[in-house]
Amino acid sequence: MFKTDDTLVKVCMFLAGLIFFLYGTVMMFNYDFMIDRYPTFEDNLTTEFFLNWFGAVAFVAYVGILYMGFKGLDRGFFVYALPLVLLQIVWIYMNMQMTGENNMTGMFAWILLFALLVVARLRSGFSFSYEKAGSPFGVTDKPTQIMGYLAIAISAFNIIGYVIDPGGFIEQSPLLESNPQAEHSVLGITMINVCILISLLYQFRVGLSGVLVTMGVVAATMFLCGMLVGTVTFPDGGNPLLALFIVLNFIILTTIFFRNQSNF
Amino acid sequence: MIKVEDTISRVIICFLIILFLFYGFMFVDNEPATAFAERIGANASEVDREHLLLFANLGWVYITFAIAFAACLLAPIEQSTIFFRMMLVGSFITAIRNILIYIGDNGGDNPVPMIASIVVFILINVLYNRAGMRIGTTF
Repeated sequence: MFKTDDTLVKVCMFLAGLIFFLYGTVMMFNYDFMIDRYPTFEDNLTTEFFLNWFGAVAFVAYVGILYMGFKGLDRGFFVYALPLVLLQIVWIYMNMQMTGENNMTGMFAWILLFALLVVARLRSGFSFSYEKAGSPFGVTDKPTQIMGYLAIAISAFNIIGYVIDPGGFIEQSPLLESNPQAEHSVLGITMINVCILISLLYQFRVGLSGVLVTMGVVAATMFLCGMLVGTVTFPDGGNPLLALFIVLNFIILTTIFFRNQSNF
Repeated sequence: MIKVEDTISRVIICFLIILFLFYGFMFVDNEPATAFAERIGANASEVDREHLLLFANLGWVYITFAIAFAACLLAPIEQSTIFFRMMLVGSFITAIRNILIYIGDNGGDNPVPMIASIVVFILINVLYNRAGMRIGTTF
């Protein structure tokens, strides 16, 4: 498993996968549990929307660990996951300061997760110097490179969009209610976007990473299906810009995946 | 990574993954499941907790099928024979059932589930043919 003989790495990755899986499935499919556990969460569609989003991100990280379980460890995963978990810890801390929430379970779980990933990364033996590939994204295939540039542009656009107008995302989404916690959730999504941008720039320099592309295509498929369900459930309540990004994201990632999957 | 070599089969499997995930996600959540029930002619007030639980169970079956199709994409096609045969029989029964429901006395509000089930049956037939699984004596 993980194509390593180091038992500690295997244990760390297994436990990290378990935590990601637990949070992913609970936040996506049993958000009532989360709402019950956190009294400051309002029981409404806005909370449900953001819990689903964060749950999907955690579940996709679990998919990455599952992938590496079969294919072997990939340092690209850590380039994405370590900043992600670290920023989520910062985000949870900020949320606790803002709401006065004193439920420390999430905070402890994510600190443990960070420690597990750090140990696995340090013991995996991968170099910390990231050599430049011969061509952008390590491929000579033009469509893949163009899609990679587009993905970087979209990711940067989302981050810049948040910096310019932090409340814009909620204002453009008719079904979401604007409140401090929802606005804080948008900050959390922006932090996730920062990690996605880091992973894209890593791939631009070092070459495509099988685990990151596979995680991306799983995420894009889940978000596309979620968007389609949202479209038929609330026909008049969607955010057109978000829908455009989800569809574009799906096209970009499936193109990259199917043009390069034989190398993974 | 993908072991299925035929491009059309790949496209069909990917489409089925999205279709099954779409229905799966719709059924596991209360609001989309209620909206679906309304669209097929049920009164929203008649959809109670037990109905939603049954919807969610069905949704998980759909998600499981989506995962199974993804697994088929990653394995040599001949290893998926039994699963495709099961899906062929299952989609045939579902399609016939949905047609009968649609033309029945209380049906006819929304043809989309019937069309979707017929499309799935046709696609799995194409998949089954292209994979050369129809050759044999057992089925």
